[in-house]
Amino acid sequence: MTRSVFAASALLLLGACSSGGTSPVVNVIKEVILPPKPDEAPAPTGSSTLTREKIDQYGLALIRARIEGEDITNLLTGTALNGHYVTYISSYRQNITMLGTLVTGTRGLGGDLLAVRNDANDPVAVLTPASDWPTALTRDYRFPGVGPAGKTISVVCNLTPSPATQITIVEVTYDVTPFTEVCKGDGVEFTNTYHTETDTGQIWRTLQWIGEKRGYINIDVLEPLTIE
Amino acid sequence: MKKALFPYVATGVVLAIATSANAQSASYSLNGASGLIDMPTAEFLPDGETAWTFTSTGTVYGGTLTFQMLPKLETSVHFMTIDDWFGGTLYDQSFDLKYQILSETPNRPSLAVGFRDFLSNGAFSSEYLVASKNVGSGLTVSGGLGWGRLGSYNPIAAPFGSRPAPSGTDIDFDQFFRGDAALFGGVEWDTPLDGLSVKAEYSSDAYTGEQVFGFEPKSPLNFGIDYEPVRGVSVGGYYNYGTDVGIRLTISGNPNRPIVPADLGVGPAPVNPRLGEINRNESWANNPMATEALALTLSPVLEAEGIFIEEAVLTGSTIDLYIDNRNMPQTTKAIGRIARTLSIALPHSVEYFRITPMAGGLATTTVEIKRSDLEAQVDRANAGPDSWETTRFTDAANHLEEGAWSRDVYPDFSWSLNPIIPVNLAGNGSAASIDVLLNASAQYRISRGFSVSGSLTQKIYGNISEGAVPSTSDTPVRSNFALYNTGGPSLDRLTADYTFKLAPTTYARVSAGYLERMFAGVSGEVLWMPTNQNWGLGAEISAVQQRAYEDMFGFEEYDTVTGHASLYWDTGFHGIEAQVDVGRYLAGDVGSTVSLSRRFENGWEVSGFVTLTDMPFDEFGEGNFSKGVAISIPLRWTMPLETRSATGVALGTMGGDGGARLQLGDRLYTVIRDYDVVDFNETWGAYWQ
Repeated sequence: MTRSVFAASALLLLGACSSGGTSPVVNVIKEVILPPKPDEAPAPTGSSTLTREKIDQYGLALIRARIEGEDITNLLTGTALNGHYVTYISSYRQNITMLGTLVTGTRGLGGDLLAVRNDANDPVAVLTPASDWPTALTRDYRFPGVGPAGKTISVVCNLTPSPATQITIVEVTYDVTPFTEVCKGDGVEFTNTYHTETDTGQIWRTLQWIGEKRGYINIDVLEPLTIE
Repeated sequence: MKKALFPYVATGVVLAIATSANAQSASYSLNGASGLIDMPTAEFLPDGETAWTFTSTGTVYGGTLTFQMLPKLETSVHFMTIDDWFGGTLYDQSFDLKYQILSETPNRPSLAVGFRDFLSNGAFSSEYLVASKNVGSGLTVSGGLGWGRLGSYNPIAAPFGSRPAPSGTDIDFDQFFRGDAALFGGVEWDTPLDGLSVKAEYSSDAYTGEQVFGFEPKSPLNFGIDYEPVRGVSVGGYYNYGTDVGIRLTISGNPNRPIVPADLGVGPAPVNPRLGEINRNESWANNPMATEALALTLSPVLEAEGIFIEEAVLTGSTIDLYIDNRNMPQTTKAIGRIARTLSIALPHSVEYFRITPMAGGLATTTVEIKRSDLEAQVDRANAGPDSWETTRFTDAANHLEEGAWSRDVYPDFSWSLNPIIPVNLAGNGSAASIDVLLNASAQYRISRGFSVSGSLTQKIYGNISEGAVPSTSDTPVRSNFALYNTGGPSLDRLTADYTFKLAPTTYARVSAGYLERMFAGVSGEVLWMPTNQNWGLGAEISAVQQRAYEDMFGFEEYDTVTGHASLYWDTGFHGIEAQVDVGRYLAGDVGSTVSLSRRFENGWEVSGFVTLTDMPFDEFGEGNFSKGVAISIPLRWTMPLETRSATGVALGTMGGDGGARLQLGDRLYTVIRDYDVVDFNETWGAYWQ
């Protein structure tokens, strides 16, 4: 099945704005900025109400996320595609940007993660079969601070696989290889986990560090982005 | 019931409480600075830490404001009362500095040098060198050598000669580290109980002045317990000198430790890049209504974030917007959000976004963003530095070209109601006096830059005016201040103001009317401040007459002309800004004011000033010379809301006639200082937020 980012065209002719009535500009802005209406999207909370059928009907890239230590889970819809970066938005307009399955940005969650630099062979960012995952990599996490670059935390990460297992996410069971990633640097140490489909390298479930202020975020990939 | 993924209000409050509970912070001494009990240490508070301490012992009581101005520089302002000091009660205001010479490493202690009460050479005047070392298990050992008051008990030598007598009229630099020196030291143990520490020290303070009226120290040893139940609130109890008991309450905050987590709220609109070179035809721009149509359709979207379009011009390739950002504390964040919205809304042919934030009716700096750069940079790892490199900043003309669309909002009326808490450091025979006032302000904006403003104040509580009697000064420009504050309501201000630009780099203001509570007249100001420059020059001149204190609209006989030339410098070093004003003050005295402030990127500001003029200290009135400190705390630091509002407190000498300057509304530099390239650079990270 093919999924596409919910991307609105910016092809607007302002001549149409003077013709009276509701402006198409406003409509498009609302479509892009505001979340889908409740009856257009799967139930935003509670895994018990979320079914694979609803996800399939929705037809968009979709993730489920929860801040570690909090009880509330919600859905975020893929709304923008820039290069290979996908921005997912919740119904409360809080954003998570991901490169592959690497969280490279958060907005509105508190303690914004501005951006992440990753190695070219980072298997979290680029689909990589489990057997080809490197054992070490580096990343730079950027946060708000003084100056355009803000505050950067550079870490070195070591990846360790665990025995293959199975996980089930909304009625679908995946054969995965769990990886544990221990990252250290600039006075920070954290541990990420990835449940990686052994053959394809698609990460279906992950726990990732998003900064000192917010800690970790749990993400289930309900429907990954594919580009036609 | 639908639940949010991140219910930011409730979560924020809970998180703030959860993360603050039982956290260990720096240790405060009885005098409010970091230290043991009476003695200092070489330990420092976290950068930016700001603390109010209230102290009471058998000999002294009062308050202290301590600010960690730089990572290695701690400053404290004390307002103390000593009941038995050489024959009477002493109300002492003093200023301390402590500087870290060496930081602690596994192999060496930290080392600091400090100066207590060094501006006025008063009751607490002393200097010291001190070292501290954490030796493990929560135990910190400190030891040092003190001079002045800290060298008065059991001195060991006078290594740098005798200490000259205080001049009483000036800062006595020649006293530093002179006279007897004595050893002091102590230990502090952070117990395994969260927030609880115990202290013991050997004091080098003989309490010589207090002994004259009966205080008899029986031992140089002091003992104490500190407890910090939640971060930001600390209490201490002490047994001193074998005869005295002291207590301390400290309430602290830090710009880098907001009460609610930063960045909770609504994220920006996502950016989707245009596809290739298709559909970049500009023929739509031939429609004469294009600009108005765009402005009217964009306005509700931007206004939802507190951004108002004031003027707009749209061509086939460029959009020019003059905007008024009313909510977002960081202008760069507003600019980024506007750019994202424009990238969604505008036809593909529009390549340049020129966004000019306005302040106080003045157009400031035009920020030019190339749309294809925005599309190429968004979400990328290097988006911050790359976008800074490709964005252009130019000084804006005060208005867009003739024929531009402009928002039809004038006349416009606004009002506000605010509590004000002025604190006088040296008034009416006490160390400090406080009022709580309710201020109502209103503004009627006739056009952009032209307004009529008024401000009324009603006293709710206070003692500043208690016992006020007319001043005997020849030029009582401020010494009758208490007579102006006997109750209310009082008309603080009623003026017509016009702000405009003489050139893209030059701002101007003219004000006339009741300029402040004590003076009325005409005032004019010019400020030259190119946006690409970290300094500016200003000039101000005012012809004023003193207002009557019994009649809201009447006048006294005194009139004068006052004016200053000003240099403003944003150092770019830890957010520190400096200002030097030179000129003629209200009483006709000539001199200068030096102001320093540290501004944090989240809007916190701690500032202080000192004014010295040719008026002798003995003619100046209370306080010897004009000085003051102020703290401004953005409400965004305390609440999960986008707001530019701030609250704060200012402490200053109000009774001195020397060094008195007109207390106008916002001067031009205050209005536009957030809108130059230096400030945009410091906060540019918010552009992508």
